[in-house]
Amino acid sequence: MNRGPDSEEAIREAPTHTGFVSLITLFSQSFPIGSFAWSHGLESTVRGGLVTNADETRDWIAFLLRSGSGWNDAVLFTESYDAASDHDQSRLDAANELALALGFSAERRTETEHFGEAFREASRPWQSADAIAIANSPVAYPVAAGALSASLKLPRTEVLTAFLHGFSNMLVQAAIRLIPLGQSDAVKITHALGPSIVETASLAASSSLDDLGSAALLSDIHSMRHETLSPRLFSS
Amino acid sequence: MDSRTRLRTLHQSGCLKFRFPRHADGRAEAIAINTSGGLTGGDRLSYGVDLGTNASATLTTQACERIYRAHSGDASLETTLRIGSHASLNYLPQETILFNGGRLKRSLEVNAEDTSRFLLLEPVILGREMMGERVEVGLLRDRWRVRIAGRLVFADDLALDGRMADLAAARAGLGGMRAFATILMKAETTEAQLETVRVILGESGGASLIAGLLVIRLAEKSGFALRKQLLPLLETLGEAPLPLVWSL
Repeated sequence: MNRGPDSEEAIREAPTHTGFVSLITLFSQSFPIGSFAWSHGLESTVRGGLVTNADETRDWIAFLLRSGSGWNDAVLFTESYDAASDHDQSRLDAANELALALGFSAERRTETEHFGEAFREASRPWQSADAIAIANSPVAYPVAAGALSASLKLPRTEVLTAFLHGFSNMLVQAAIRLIPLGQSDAVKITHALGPSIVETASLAASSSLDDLGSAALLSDIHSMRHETLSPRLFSS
Repeated sequence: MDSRTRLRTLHQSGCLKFRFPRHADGRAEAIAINTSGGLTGGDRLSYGVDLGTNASATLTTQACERIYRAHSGDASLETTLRIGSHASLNYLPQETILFNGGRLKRSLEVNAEDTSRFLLLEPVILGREMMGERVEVGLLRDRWRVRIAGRLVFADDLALDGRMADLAAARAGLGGMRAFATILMKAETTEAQLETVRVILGESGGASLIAGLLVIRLAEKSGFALRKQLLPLLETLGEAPLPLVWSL
């Protein structure tokens, strides 16, 4: 029987049924991280007339997934996953410090801290005392999610896919209310974003912190401009 | 007592030189000059400034840094700034102009103290619009790491990689703009200045206050339009008289 490192890797990565249930629960739309109240700057983008319909919504989200904050979050998720897999607390702390520092606006930072804190609270039943985690300070969402996923031995690419699907879904849900879009448009967008989610997850699964990088300058700018938007539906 | 900022150590080699214009008011200014006239694949440029306690200085460049088409490899530009206690630094290089096929990896490392003051600027232009140039492909990676009292408080990783024209055209990217800039400022006045900055920026950018740091990002349709925005911004934010190239 083949007992080489490849087969051990394969066994570790194989999702158990319990792991699969954890994965879809932790990253489902109903897991209470409160994302329905946040738009990641999409609200000011829509109000500014930059995103006005289903196609533009799809393109906006795809860009963030491939070349913006979605990609960066996926890289930070991977780094945190690896740090927790290696039981390396200082590496995880450094990833968290970097993840928070990368928030380009006050609301970006509040958003990731808010999701991170809510995820840490809600995922208590999944946590174990001997796992590496950010325990007592503000935690960025991709860091909290990546570290817990590693401690549960959830398969890396699949869990990244679910994580990015959550990111994308938050924006689709915000667009439904903001533009507004009907459910059939929303479903079409989600379907069309499939390849961007899968490819980003697959690339990010073997990324390192050197791969961080965003080209989404106008997304950053609109996230800052949201702070003075009035009236507003969303917290970011 | 003479409280002027003076040069303690200067080391320069290769194509990078510094010039120190004398000012009647005694303020310290350093102008970096790349005597090679531009960067291309494989070129490496690095400079570091260490500003001692209570010192204040302004650093700028003599000309726009031009990044020419790379035949192989990337150009790299590394800047390291250390800003001591109660020291004040204006880091105001002129625009970096990326030509079609130009490839630049740039990093800015800042280590400051709780009582330091700084104003940092990095402006970029994709091609020279007056010359009808269009940047189709290329690379610009710009990494900022800013530490205060050893703690990482601000990080930014900009990556325009590959199909530049597509990234610049995308609505979430540059939305058709070709000139952009990032400004970061640490000072006691940032909170009071936020509103003024937002008024100057209007539709062309955004500003936010993160843990007392003022962060600004703006994008414009041309290098000329960008400069028209930057001049009043720097006039508002700069403490010492600005270098001639950035004065209104």
